Amino acid sequence: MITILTNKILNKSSTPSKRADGRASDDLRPFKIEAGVLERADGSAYLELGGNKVMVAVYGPRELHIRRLMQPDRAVLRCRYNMAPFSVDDRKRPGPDRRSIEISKITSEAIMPAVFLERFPRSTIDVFIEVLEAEGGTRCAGITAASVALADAGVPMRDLVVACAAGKSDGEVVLDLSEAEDKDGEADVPVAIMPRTGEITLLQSDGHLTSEEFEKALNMAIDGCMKLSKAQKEAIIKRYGD
Amino acid sequence: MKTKTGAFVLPGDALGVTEEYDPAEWTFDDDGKIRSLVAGTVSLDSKNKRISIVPKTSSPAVLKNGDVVYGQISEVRGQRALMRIGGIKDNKRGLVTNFSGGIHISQADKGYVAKLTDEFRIGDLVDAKVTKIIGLDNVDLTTAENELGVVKAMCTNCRAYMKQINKKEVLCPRCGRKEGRKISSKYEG
Ligand SMILES: [Zn+2]
Repeated sequence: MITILTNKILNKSSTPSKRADGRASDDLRPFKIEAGVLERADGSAYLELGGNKVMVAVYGPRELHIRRLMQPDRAVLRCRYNMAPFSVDDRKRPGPDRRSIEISKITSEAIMPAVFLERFPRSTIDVFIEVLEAEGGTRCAGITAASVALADAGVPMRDLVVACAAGKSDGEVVLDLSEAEDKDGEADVPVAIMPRTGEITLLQSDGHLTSEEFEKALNMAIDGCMKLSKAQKEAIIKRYGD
Repeated sequence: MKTKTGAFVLPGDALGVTEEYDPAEWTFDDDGKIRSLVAGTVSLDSKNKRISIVPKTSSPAVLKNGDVVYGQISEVRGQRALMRIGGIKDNKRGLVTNFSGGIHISQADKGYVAKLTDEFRIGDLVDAKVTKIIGLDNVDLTTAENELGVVKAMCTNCRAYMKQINKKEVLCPRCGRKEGRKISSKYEG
């Protein structure tokens, strides 16, 4: 595909960059977050980020029927990240694979510090993340949407966890890698934070970065988180505020 | 403190300090700062020095005193009827964990009750009010109000649901058996 860069797009850039979609190195892709989109779930959210489309449904806290998973002093937080078979160009085999299982686990770990699980002994909070369309960075998109869905479900939290990745593509440290950038990318650093305190709840690093580049990527990702955090709050205010 | 009653807040938003106020419903004490746990509006009780949040979202179904619950009678002993609680009326969400409730004979009706089996039978569907929370999954219940009690009675003989014939009695349309109940004013059938 040929992308024509217009002056308008180029002028928008705060830092010169050679990114294929004309973004500045510290630009996020266009995004949109909505809260409370599903009637049947206790809480839900929908998020678009670039070509990603993610739907999250939350059920609970509710009765946990599997006794061996039951915790006497708190709820368990179960996340299931799933990519729809039609979410990628090559039809994906349905059901959990190793990658989905890993992402489900890290999503749960990223969100858990914000949730008051101790208020619901022996119960479960189930978070279903469905990636409808994937275009790079779905694990972070899932975390960001899941927090909104949890708030929509009235689950007590100290903050809304938000996630964003930065990385290195074409020799440059950039924010929010698209699928194309990620494919040829040299590194990817997904970060989740509790924005009020700045506490990091997820930090992964895939690929090769100098310590200087890593620090730059981390700071960039945190800035990206702060922008998405604003959109998370606006989504809830739009749904429930006056 | 700048927080006002009616202000819309999000999880983590600062509401006040514990030196001035008690953190009440849907708030938490964050090292002396009171913050909201949910998306909702602030309720400031200056007289009692309490800050609470009225959630704008639906809320997890946790039982508390005064909640009216519905459920099914699972056992009737001498002094106590046991009930499996299905949920809270006015809250569509499923309970956060399974609860069972006990209705003591003294709490079954307003007046004196001689025999608990004249009030409840296994299988009856009952509306009751929570009077006490015991541990994680047990509550005490009362049905000593007009709109509380049996809303559907199950025949002990043939398990059919019964018709109300007067204030205290139900009749089985299938086998003709007559039984006593603590009947709710909201009896169905
Ligand atoms: Zn009968």
